[in-house]
Amino acid sequence: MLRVLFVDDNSDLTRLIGIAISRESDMESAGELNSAERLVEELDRRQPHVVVLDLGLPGTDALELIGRMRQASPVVRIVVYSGYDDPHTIDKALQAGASGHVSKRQRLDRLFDSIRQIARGTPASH
Amino acid sequence: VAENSPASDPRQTEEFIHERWRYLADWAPQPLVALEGPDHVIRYLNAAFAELAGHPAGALIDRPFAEAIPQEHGEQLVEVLDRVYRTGRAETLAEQEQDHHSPSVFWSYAAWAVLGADGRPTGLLVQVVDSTKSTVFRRTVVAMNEALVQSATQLHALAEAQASIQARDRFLAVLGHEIRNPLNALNNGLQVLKVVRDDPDAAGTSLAIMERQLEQMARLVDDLLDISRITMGKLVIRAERTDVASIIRNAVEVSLPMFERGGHVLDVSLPTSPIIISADPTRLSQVVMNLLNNAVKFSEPGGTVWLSASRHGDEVLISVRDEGIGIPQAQLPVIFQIFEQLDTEWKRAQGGLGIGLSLVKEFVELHGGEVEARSAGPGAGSEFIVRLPALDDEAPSRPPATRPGRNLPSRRRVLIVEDNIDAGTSLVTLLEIMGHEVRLARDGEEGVVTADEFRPDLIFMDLGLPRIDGVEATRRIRAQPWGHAPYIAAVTGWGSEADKRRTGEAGFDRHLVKPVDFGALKELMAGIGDARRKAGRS
Repeated sequence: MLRVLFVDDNSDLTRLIGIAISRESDMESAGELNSAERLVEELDRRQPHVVVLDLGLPGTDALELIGRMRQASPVVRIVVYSGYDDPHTIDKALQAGASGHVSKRQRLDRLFDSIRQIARGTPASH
Repeated sequence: VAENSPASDPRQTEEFIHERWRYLADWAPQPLVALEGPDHVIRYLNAAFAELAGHPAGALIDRPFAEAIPQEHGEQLVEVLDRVYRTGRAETLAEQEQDHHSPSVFWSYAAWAVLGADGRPTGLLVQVVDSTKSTVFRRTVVAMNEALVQSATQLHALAEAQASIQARDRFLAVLGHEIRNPLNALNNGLQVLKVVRDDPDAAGTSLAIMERQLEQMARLVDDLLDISRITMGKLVIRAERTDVASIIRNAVEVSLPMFERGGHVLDVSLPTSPIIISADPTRLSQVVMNLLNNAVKFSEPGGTVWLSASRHGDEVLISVRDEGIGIPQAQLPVIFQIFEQLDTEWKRAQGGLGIGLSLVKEFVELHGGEVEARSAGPGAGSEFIVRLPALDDEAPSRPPATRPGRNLPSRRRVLIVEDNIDAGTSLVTLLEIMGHEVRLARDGEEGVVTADEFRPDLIFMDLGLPRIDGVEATRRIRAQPWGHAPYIAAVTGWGSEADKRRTGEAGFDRHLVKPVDFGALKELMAGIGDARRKAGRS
């Protein structure tokens, strides 16, 4: 079972994704966080395979956060989930250690497909 | 003359000094004249003055001074000379321009009195300076300085314009994000709805989320429209005599679900007598709502927000205080400015557009009031204080029976028995601002004991309670000698017919299903008197 942790400041969005993922037979939610606070500590506790991270968390330097997550857990895969689609920022996030990017405009099934691909080790960008 | 040594005869000495002065005056490079009497007749002039005036000395001697100088200086200069002659006090007249000269020529005058034996002026000495060079220099410096100031001002205006363009661009970027966010949630909600049709709970949650996100977006758009109406001067305030308490009640009613979601506690303190103001109730409620929204947004879940209204002389003060993240000192002056506040690192870190606070300020000012933000700094919480002019206490348009007050029949004693603190506290708040006296008990046993002490008119009883449940607690209350009196409403998540029958049999008057909405509550509170009369219990 693929364990996925969602981090987005919009609690309604994470909740909806939580409901949607509970319908997927091969995935489960490892939790929904609405701020980056304690995220690095939570990795150890929740042991997700994939973290879906909002790039626009208020008050958070997402690139720096990706670096810290990588250090804390070299095996966790990070999917950047962003509303901006600014290629420059996404490139930087990938350089910082994210494994893939999915636009918030994408349908949820595409998000889940990307999570599966990235978990298998195939880079994905949608 | 200079080589002669002074003679010992005083008369000779005086003559010697006189001669020396005469020599100095004659050959001084500064133009000099001596005038006599009130008409300022020239009795002496030196070579430099003759040259400056452009006439031989002989032509000027014994003529009035006004004839020796350019006509255009005459009037003003004679006024000065008259004054010096009258008062004995030296004066100057600087930088007098001469007509018909190109480039310009300027003369400056200095006049002082020559006193007679009685100490009164008998004449004047006038020194004339061609000050063209220094005047032109000074004027050039002044002009350059003015030009510098002007270009600095223009540069400043340009920088401001650029900053406001940047602020606008940033605003648009954040606005896009703020609209995109609920749109994403709505989009995801639709997709979830498609796959959870068979699961009513999941579908219900998705619908509730979508409704909330839609409402959030609608509010954002309404706020933007309000801002644009204000900017174009098209926003109209429909003022009427209204009680501050009713405005606050409206705002609290709308805001309570937001408090419940984050587990925030709202502590409302209202005056016992009405405070009448001239206000647009919708707009002023919006002010209070926006301040509450702001307080919740910047407080930790479970934090307390205090809302109070009080009268101070001719003013009403509405205060919204929180124990949240606070505001840095530097941020306080710009906290209400829609574009500027986005410009700071601190504000960007907080997210959001700041439209809410900007509207607060605009609406309050349209009501002739003012709003102030206070904070001891980051982490120290914040307080927003709205001041509005209060009207006289007399409120003719308001029937006295609807005023809240201790002895009025509409004020009831209400007991809430509820183990969920958030749900209990929000119901307490709601009932208190409706003007009722409210107690809260956390379990069935405490409920029975409190009912005995407090003798409520009305009990809201949760059913699933620790120790003894709500049905048993109600049975015990009804078994007391006074136990027939209170109107008891079951408040529960269980709403089947069987549940309703069970509560009816246990002695409940009413079965309410959670969440109880404000309208139903108001209706219930208003109807209790009638219900009890009909039941023959009141």
